[in-house]
Order: sequence, then C-alpha cells, then structure tokens
Amino acid sequence: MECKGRSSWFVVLAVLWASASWAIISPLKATIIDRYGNQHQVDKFTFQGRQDLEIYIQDQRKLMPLVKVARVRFEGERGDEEQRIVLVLRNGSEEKAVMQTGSSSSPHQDAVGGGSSGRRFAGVTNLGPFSILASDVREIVLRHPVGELPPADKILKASVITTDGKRFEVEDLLFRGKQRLDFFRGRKKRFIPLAKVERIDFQDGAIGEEFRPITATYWTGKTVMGTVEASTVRLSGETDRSYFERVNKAFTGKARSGPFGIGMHAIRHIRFQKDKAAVEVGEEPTGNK
Amino acid sequence: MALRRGHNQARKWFLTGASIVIFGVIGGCASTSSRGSYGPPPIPEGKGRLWIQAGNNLNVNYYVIDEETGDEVHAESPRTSGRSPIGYESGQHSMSQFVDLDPGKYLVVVNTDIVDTAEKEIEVLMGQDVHASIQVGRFQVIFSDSQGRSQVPFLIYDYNMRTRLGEGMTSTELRYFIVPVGEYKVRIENSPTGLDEIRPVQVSMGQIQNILIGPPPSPAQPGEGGSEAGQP
Repeated sequence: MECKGRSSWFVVLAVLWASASWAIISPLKATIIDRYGNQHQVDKFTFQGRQDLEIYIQDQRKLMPLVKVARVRFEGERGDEEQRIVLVLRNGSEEKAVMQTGSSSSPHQDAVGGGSSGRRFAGVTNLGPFSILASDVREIVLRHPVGELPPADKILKASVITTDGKRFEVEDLLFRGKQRLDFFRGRKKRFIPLAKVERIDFQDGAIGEEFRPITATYWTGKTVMGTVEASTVRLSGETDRSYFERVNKAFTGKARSGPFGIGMHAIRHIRFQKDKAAVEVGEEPTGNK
Repeated sequence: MALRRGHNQARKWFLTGASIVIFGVIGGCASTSSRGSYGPPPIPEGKGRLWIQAGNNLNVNYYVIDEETGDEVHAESPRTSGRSPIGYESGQHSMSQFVDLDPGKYLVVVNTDIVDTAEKEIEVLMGQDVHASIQVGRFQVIFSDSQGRSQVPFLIYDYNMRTRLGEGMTSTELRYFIVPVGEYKVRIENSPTGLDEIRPVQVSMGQIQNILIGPPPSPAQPGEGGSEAGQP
C-alpha cells in the first residue's frame, strides 16, 4: 500500500517536472549530414542555442525560423568564412542565401566564462549531447511532426503613399526584413504585426526630431499609437551602405517596376489590401493592449 | 504581610516578563514573515508562475503576450536604453524575474539592446513554475583614454558589417549590453582623434565578453614621475 502511494508520488513529480521543463526545450528534430556523409539523428535541434538562422537573401539580413525550413544545403567549402546555402522551405519554395559558417571555431580572446560556442548546430542524439560546427555540415533535413502545417506566410500587398504624394503599389512589404513594425510606446519597444493592420498613418515630427508619431489601425478597428525612429542623421561609425539602407530602405518590397525601398522619413500612409483569409479567421491584434 | 507583598510583587514581575516574552515572540514572527522572508512568495491560487531565465541576466526588459487574445498581459522595463548615457548595472536584483499568470499559452518577448528581440512561446499551468529560457547574452565595452574610462557612443553591427543593429554608450561604471546569442561587431569611430576600432563580439548564453578599447588606465606613464625614472 505504502509502495503504491510512493509510486503515485513519483508519477506526480515526473508529470510536474515534465510540464515545468518543456518550455526550455526545442521541439525540433533534424537529420544532420556532415561533409563525410555521416548522418546524425538529432532531437532538440538548435543553431547557437536559437531556433532561427541568420541569413542574407540578396544582401538583406533575415532571421529565418527553423520551423519554416524543410532542409538546408551548404554549398561552400569547409574553410569558407561564409557559405552559399539553399533553403527549401516547408511551403515548397526555395531560397538561395548566404550564411556565416566559419567565423569562430574558438572563443574570442576577450570572452569571459570559458567554453566555446562558435557557429554550431546542437542537439541530443541517442548517445548524448551533440554539436557540430556549421562549417562541417553538408546538409540538414528537419523532421517536423507529420500532419503539422507549416506557419502560414502571408504576402502583404499595400499602397504606400509618400510625403510627396506619390503612390506605390507594393507586394511583399517588409519592415527591415520582417513582417513587423517596431515602434516605441514611450520608451518601451513594441511591435505591430503588419499582417493584422489595415493602415498606418505617419504624422510629421518636429523639425530635427528623430521620431515620428504613428497611428496604426487594425482590421478589427482597434488603433495603436506610438513613435517610430525616422532619423536621417548619420552616426559616427556608420558605413555608407548601412546608412543608406537605414535611411532609404526601412520598408522594402516589390513594385511593378522592380525592387522597392523607402525610408521612414518619407512615408505618409500605408494602406494594406484586405487578406480575405485573415479577416475570415478574425485574427486579433498581437502585442498591444 | 511583608511576605505577601513581596509575593505579589514577584507575581507582577513574572507576568510583565511573560507578556514581554510573548509580545517579543509574536513581534519577531511578524517581522520575519513581512520583510525578512527569503525566496519567492507562494503562487497565488489559480495561477502559474513564469520565470524569466535569461542567461544570468536578472534584469531584462520584457513583456508577455496572451496568445489567445493578443493582449499584453504583463511588462517590465527595469533597464535603461543601451544608448542612454546614464545607464549602469545595479545589484538590486538577487532573484530572476517572475510573474504570476493565469493558465494559458503566452509569448514572452525580451527586448535587447539591438533591433532583434528574443522570444519564447510558453504554456503556463496552474500552480506550477515554468521557466522560459531566453537565449541572450551580455557584453561590455570599456573605452579608456589618457584620463581613464570615458563615455563614447558605439555601433553594433552584424558580423558581416552589413547591417547596423543598434547603438550603445560606454560607461565609466559597470554596464552590460544584452543581445541575442550570436556574433556581432562593435565599432567606435572618433574622427577628430583618428580612432576607428572594429571588434568582434561573441555572445553566448551565460558568458560575458569584455571589450577593452584604448590604453589601459595606468597611474604613471614610463618616463614620468621624477628624474629617477628617466631614460639612462
């Protein structure tokens, strides 16, 4: 009887432990194929402890969530500082990108705390903890749960109206490579998911001010106010390229005539076109009260 | 008669002493429970507790979004911006940040000192602790000139120096910058002095990287401090 009571306590504790600790574990599983052709079946798959990849698509930095990726193929050599990669996404599309792979096989001399991180994939195999340098990997095949749908990718279409009164019809509109607009509410940084917004109005800031007030209206009718960074001042240490991108390519997309980019200081309105699927589902705004 | 009076007096003293002891014990207990308690308070009825585990960072700016409603249900911003000239580390916090929430699914968003945020989806269960492991790390930039440590602005880039991710201000005090784990570059450019330093930063969870720029402050330079220290 006493034994039965004890075992039930163990079960309860195990359930509690499992439920409390699941949040820190990556659910991703992957098959990693190294440059010698060895395959490694890895659970709790992460890259540098994160569940996204820092890649560059047409020189634009992007964080690609691993849940969207079906497989990654590395096309460079082991000693390359950065490699060309081919990402096959779960929705069937393919992206060619560049990724840093070989920059740090040992920790920097100034690092305090020991250990090494570098750019490596990590996880757990049947034999125990597993990690491999990104430069040693040839291919990664992610094993997502059968029947689980990939996160839906919405291609946002919008009309962008500039302060000069010009109007551009833009497809796949992104804010610095993301479908989110970062803004400040006071000194608190928050984001607006662009997929849930009907329009964004940009007010004029005072002359010389680095922030512009905005009002975002969600499809649900809710409005959010805040400020966005719209500085055109060049900072000390800023390269020509990063300055140009920051000032002139806050929003990017594809117009009919080619690639589109506009700075935050030059926008008056953004009006998004209705995405029927999103409205039918009745999605609520995220990240705002 | 005198014996009886002495007896009564002794009784009074005994009662006074006993009441002092009782009040002392009660008072001691009360003070222990009100301000001297160690550890977190118990989880309120019907709620679960979310702990923010951000790689030894006991102090991060974060907010929690209810995934069902999309509402922000909790926010804390104890840190000043990385660009602020008045920011420095304080040792006030001895315990990780936590919040008691209704059971449900939430998104924890930690604002870092660059444009990227660190996020984690978690599920809070009633009466239980849930630890959200946030993959962020810290680095410190120590800039010193002939006068010692000083405040200068710097930029944080991605490792390729393609994209500017943020900016910061060095401090004469202890000051860390919180960024998602990864590799970055830090650039300090000061045109009048001709200084242009670019340093790689490798940020891992739980590690701190100190970047020293400029000569280390020393009490006396060689050749200074009298004729005895002069060159032969």
